[in-house]
Amino acid sequence: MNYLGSKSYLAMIPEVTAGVALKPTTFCPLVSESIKSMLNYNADRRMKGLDWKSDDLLLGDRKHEGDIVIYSDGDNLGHLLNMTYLKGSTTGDSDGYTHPFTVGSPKSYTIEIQKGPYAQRYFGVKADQLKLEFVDQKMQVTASVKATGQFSASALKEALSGSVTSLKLSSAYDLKPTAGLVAGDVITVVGDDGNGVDLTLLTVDADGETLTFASTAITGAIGNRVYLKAQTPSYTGIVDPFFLGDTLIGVGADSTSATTNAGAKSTATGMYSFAFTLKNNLLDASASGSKDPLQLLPQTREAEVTTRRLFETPEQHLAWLNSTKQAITMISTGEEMTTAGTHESLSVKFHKVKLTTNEENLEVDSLIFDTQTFEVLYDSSDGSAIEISLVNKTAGTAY
Amino acid sequence: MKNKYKNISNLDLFVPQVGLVKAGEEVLTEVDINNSNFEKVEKVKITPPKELITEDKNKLN
Repeated sequence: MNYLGSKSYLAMIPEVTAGVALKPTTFCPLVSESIKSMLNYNADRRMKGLDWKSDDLLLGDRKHEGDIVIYSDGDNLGHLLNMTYLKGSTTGDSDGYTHPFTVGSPKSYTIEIQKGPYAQRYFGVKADQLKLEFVDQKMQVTASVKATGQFSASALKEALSGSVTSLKLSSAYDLKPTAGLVAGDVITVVGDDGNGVDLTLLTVDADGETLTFASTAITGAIGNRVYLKAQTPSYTGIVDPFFLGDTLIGVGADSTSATTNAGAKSTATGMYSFAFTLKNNLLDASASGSKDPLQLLPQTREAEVTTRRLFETPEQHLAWLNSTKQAITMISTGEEMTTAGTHESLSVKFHKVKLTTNEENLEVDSLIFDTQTFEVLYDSSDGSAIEISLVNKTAGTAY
Repeated sequence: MKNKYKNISNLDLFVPQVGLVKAGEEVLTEVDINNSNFEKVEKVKITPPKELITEDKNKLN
């Protein structure tokens, strides 16, 4: 049997305790996904009397990382921001919740990605990097995430026969193979007849290998497959992403003036492309106690903005030459949420940016553009580098 | 075989191949919904109380 990627989902839930998995309940349509576990197997090079390189592989430091790409609508963007930056107190009501995000410790998530019949679940997930860009009008966000572990598939450690209420998973992958599973999960055990038997977990034993469930008749040999059954996705009304056409970008000498300029089309700067990348530089080193990264901790934060706008005066060239402080505010207005006229919105303030490159390349028949890269700097006078405010339909408790 | 599921979340949810299920509502579907926002509603066999089971006096033997 073959499976279509288009039927897959991304499901997310913020964890109460970082690294302790929960069953994801928020489903988000993916554009693409490339998260993978790197087991870093190496050939076993011990001298075993062979004239061949090796007869086995040995595990190295395990890592779990990759990209999630989605279209940036207000509700789902909130989760990706929440795994990148620190959410402050949410205000508002069901007519529009306002969530402020500032540079700080992000929430850790459990995420799940469907691969045909099974789901790949990653826990302890945080964003190492978040890139927002406009692709053919649509705001697209790429979260480069890392995780502290995964559960997807395992094997029976002991044979099952007749009516059983528990099973043990093989420790071939990890000494605690049930990490990532929670009560309420549905797992599929492939019986000796080749048919899968679905089991809803009642408990995940503290021994790290035993799972219990209601009495079920299964006949299965040691090594038979056991996998996390993919959920049936459910969506809370898939809304349009933010569009470049509904985005105003203000540039000014400081954040106040940039925000004022972003307030109207007449004062905003028309950007032919606009993208920014927020980086957390997560520490993901291995440490005692876990074959996976023990924990994911943000280190030095940094960010970069890239823009393309029409060249009109040598102003930006001079700003680059003289390393002049500028500020940028982006305000994107999204779908109308209420008949009262409240819209989803995303406001991002870069308090202090300076040009690292400003190219004015010439091409035959073409107008000259300023193609720019800004380093986002900490503004000591404002006491901030970046401020983000998101208005959507999702209550603060969901984050 | 159809199963009944209840949307136990406080959100209206769209389920592919099932449709929109409003918060708190139940849906009868052939799709096996494995989703933590939904709870399977077990079928309860209703047996009328004994005193209500009366012999049909008009039945011809």
